[in-house]
Amino acid sequence: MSDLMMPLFYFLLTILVYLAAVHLQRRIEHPLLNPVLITLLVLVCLLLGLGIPYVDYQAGGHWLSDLLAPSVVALGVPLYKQIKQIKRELPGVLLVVALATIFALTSTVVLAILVGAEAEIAISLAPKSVTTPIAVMIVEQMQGEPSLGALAVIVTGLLGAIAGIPLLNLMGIREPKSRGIAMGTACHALGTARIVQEGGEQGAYSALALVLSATISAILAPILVPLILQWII
Amino acid sequence: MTFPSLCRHIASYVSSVLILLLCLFVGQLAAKYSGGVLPGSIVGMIFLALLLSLGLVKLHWVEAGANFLIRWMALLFVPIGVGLIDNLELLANSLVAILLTCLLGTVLIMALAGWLFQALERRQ
Repeated sequence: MSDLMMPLFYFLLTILVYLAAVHLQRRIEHPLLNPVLITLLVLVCLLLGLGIPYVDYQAGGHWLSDLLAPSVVALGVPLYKQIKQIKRELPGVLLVVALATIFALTSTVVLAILVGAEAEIAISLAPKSVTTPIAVMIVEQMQGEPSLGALAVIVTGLLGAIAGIPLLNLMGIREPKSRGIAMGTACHALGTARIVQEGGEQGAYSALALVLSATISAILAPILVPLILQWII
Repeated sequence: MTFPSLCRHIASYVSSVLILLLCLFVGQLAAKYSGGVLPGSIVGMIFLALLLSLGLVKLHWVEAGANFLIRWMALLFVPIGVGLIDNLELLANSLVAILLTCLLGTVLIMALAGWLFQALERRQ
């Protein structure tokens, strides 16, 4: 019986903390109060404080992680809707997102090595601009550290949510579709959630860019990242 | 909620789950037969989009469950993030490198994607 009780407790605890964090963000609208970041901080402090090992927690936590794969499949629905909307411009969008994604993987690995990170960390950071479930799978496939990958994805997303719009203005990217594509490619879902407040057109292009860049990363990263590492080290 | 509408509600979730699992299964088969080169869930996603655009699957068969999963996606990866507690040393040693990479990388990627598409739009 207790074999099931503790995992169930951790499973429910994760959901409860997350719901509380979502509630908190609705009350106080501040981009730093990202529910995932808050939930992570609370759980990490709690487990460390009580000395509970990760394996014990993950006995219940994996019930949530297991839903990641079906949730990636579910992204097929928004993908279909956006492609229908944007059909005519799809080749241009695809070209730009593909180039930007190759650049994203390359620049991230090179930057990480330049600022002194080890290869394992560079690998874990590579898909940082990709939406979390896909980024985590990419990191797992390349045998990096998934939790570091997840952290890099949140940091990147928060950056987009907080500084993305001022950055786009500073860079002189004023055309709405381009703003959406820049945000979706660089800062995935968190950036998309912010830019959609500026306008529906930005939002649609951002969402399309986020799905496309995730797909391209998933296919290219396992081939490209080891090559870059070999070349740079 | 009336009884028939409740039934429709439940049916829409049941059909969503079945379709999502079917697509995932197809994706994982593709992953298996490609020797792990193709990512299963991504193939499943593209397969679902394909079924929708061919009209083989209707949007309302799958929308309820898909929207539910997408709405809760952020929660789903919390347990993986909690894995940081097993990697505190790694994190402490490279926190500055991680933050710098994310910061600089994001600015560069955003600039490139935005400028490229803007240039393309102006040419047309």
